[in-house]
Amino acid sequence: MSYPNTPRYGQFHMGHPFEEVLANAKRGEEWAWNQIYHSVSGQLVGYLTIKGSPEPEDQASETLLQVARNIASFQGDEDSFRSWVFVIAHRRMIDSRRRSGRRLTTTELEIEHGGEFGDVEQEALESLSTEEVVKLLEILTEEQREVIVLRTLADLSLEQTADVMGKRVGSIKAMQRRAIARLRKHMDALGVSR
Amino acid sequence: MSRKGDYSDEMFTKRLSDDDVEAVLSGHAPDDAELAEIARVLSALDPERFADTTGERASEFARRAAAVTRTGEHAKFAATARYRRGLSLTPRLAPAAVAAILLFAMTGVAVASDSSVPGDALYGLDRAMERIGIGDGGDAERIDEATVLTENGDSAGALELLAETFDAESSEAADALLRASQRIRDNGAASSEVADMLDWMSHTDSRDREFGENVAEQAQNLGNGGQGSEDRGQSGEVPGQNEETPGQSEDQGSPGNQGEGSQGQGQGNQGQGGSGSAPGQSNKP
Repeated sequence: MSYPNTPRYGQFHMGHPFEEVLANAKRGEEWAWNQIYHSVSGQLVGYLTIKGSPEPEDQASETLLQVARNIASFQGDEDSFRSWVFVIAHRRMIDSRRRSGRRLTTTELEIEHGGEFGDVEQEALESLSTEEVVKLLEILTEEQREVIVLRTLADLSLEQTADVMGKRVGSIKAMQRRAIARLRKHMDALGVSR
Repeated sequence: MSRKGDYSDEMFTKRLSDDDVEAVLSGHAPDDAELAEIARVLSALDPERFADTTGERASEFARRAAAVTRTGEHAKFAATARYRRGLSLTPRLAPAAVAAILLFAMTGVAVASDSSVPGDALYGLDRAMERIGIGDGGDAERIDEATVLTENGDSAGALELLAETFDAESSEAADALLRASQRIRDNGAASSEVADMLDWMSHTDSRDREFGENVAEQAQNLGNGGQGSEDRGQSGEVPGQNEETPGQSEDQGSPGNQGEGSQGQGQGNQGQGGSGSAPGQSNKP
């Protein structure tokens, strides 16, 4: 099944088409797994961070190891693959919360990653810091936040997002509209506008 | 349609078209200045910022992932992950238990038994080990096991297994599950409905009283060919099963149950979709 969205990032654009990467990953070729890691880990770590994972990098690796364990039974294109990765991540978050018996909130997040990653100086010129954005997203409900992160950072389509969250496309549409409306309403109050 | 506390946002919502929302989300600045500002803010959610710049994690991961796929030692790695989780609880485990973990890990018995489902020779061992805290997946693992049973065509057995899990939490849910199991034994398959319910359970992160009531309610609709619980509210925790999901998940290998041997999943299930059409028996709790 193909999705209408063309990914902006996270594509397998390192010289090998997805089919080839997949076939080699199934055969246990290290380079293929390396490529898979590079193509999704940034989105995955970002998603897990904003979902409140205490150890987003570890959890991203574990999510992808679960992908590796089940790769033999995977059939589909790159879009399906990326949805599948986030389905697994979504469930891992649910499971780990269930185990720890409490809900993490973003206020408990240690948002130190923003400074650690990427080219900070350049970012400062063109956009907000990761901390600022994460802070702003706190005004959303947990589900609204997840929708926004899946639609933007993870670059999933409406359909893929519905799939990952186990909801109907209509619900996702409603949630993202409410999320944007709420952001719009609170932007000034939070002093984000410059 | 609106969630509590969202009324004021609703006023703003009305002025937002779907196109506006999509434009903001895809990073295209719409004409509206405020929306353009939101698009700019969201553009800071850049995966590059979270990416592994050193490449060390990538190499370490690639090495492990290649090993997992190449040698087919799926179960062994699954177990390693579980043990690590288990070992963080070591203060509670007697040294003997730790020794047992290591021994089992080396022999592979624990590994094999951990992925077993009811009816397998090793399942008893699996449960016994979980009782002393080894490889205990708790609810999540019970749900996975029940999913495997459903896939193998034993949805009645799956419900009994769930009933056992719920016994402590909600006897109402447990009773409803047992009655549903009996109906399925009497009337025949309802595996697609059971699979739907399991899927919902594994998606839902609450385990409160409401969850128990929801399970009880869904169970009452199982196996009598009835309409299932059609609560399609948007309020999140209610079982808003996704209409689109079954079709899509087919394509995606098995996003649902990640258990071993999920190959070929889908065919077995798919055929039975919407069958359980025995005329409804009414059953009030």
